[in-house]
Amino acid sequence: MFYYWAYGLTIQSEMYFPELMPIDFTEFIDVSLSLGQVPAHLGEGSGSPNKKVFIDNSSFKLYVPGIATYWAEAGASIIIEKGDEVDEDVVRLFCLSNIFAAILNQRKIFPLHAAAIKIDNYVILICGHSGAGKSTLLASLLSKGFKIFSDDVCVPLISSSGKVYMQSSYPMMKYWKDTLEGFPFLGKPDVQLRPDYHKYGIFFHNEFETKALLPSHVFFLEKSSEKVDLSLREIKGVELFQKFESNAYRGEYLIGLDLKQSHFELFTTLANQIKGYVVERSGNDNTIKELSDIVEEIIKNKI
Amino acid sequence: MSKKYIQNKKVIQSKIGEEVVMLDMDSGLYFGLNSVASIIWVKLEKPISFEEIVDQLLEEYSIDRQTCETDSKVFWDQLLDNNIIKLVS
Repeated sequence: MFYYWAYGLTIQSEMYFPELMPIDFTEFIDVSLSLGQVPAHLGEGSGSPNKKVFIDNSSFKLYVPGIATYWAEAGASIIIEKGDEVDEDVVRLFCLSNIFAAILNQRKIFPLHAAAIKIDNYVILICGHSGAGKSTLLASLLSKGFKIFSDDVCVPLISSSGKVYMQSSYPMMKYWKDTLEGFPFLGKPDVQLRPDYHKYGIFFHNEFETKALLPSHVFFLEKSSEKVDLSLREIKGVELFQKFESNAYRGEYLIGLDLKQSHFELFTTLANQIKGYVVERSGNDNTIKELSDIVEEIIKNKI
Repeated sequence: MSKKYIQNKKVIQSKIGEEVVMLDMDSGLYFGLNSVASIIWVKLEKPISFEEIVDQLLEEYSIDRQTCETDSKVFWDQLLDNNIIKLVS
């Protein structure tokens, strides 16, 4: 049996996950993961030929033909029914993203779609839709000596004092081949995420932080609409709230007012305690270096 | 006497700095209020008419009646259209 910490939860698992942070044996298990048969009473679900999903109040079933069937129940248990002779890397990949998102959703925890670095006891969040340059900026900041906190998901935790803290997800960064080649200091990747996919994983178990930390700054990366190479401005109030809201991690299957209300509470609280910036940049990769200098300046001045 | 209105309680709200964000629990829509709209919104915690709001704003801020009425009316209509204030019976 394996024991892990992931997304703020303790996991007991029959399956080995090199991507997750191992912990010592504990009796306090949030989620137990086993290999076995997913019961037939769950509906077949709907979706595309490549992916079928069944979802109700307490159950989430995902069927990926040729890979596995997954069942997440009541935020506390996961059963994986693997196909024969499948690539285990791919089996784990779906579990790490979709299935843990479902578990969190069932526990009424709504993760934030953000990369994060840490400095002292604070985290700096980087948000942006895919293609906005998040992971390139992250790599650029790491090359300056900042420490990684989370690759692309942070799990909020509201403390008894009413402040929002952030927890990491798991110690793996995901990079496209091009980014890895642009930042040789990142070293050789530990895994290829999918055989047909030029995206790679780099582990950071040695630097991994399971403690919840206060977020001090957030940067929203956007494609510039005009012919500006790079612009940055501070945002506050309603605008800051809206930026969080439009960058929320919706997963594919999160629905309902629960989510709306939780997002509302989370983002209004965050907007009151964090410094927010919108960064607009052109596709030009040279702006990343300049941006990481500006970000470094802002962070160092204001903590 | 003019009609009095009050905040519709199915709205949850939160202050961010000087501004207010609201979530309409029926429609699931968010509304953001700027600082002036926030001042009007706070006055709607108790039953109040549009005319009373304008009068109070004129007392509290140096602004001419024409501008005050026009600007407030725009916000007022949005509140009514979106059902986030209701008539007090």
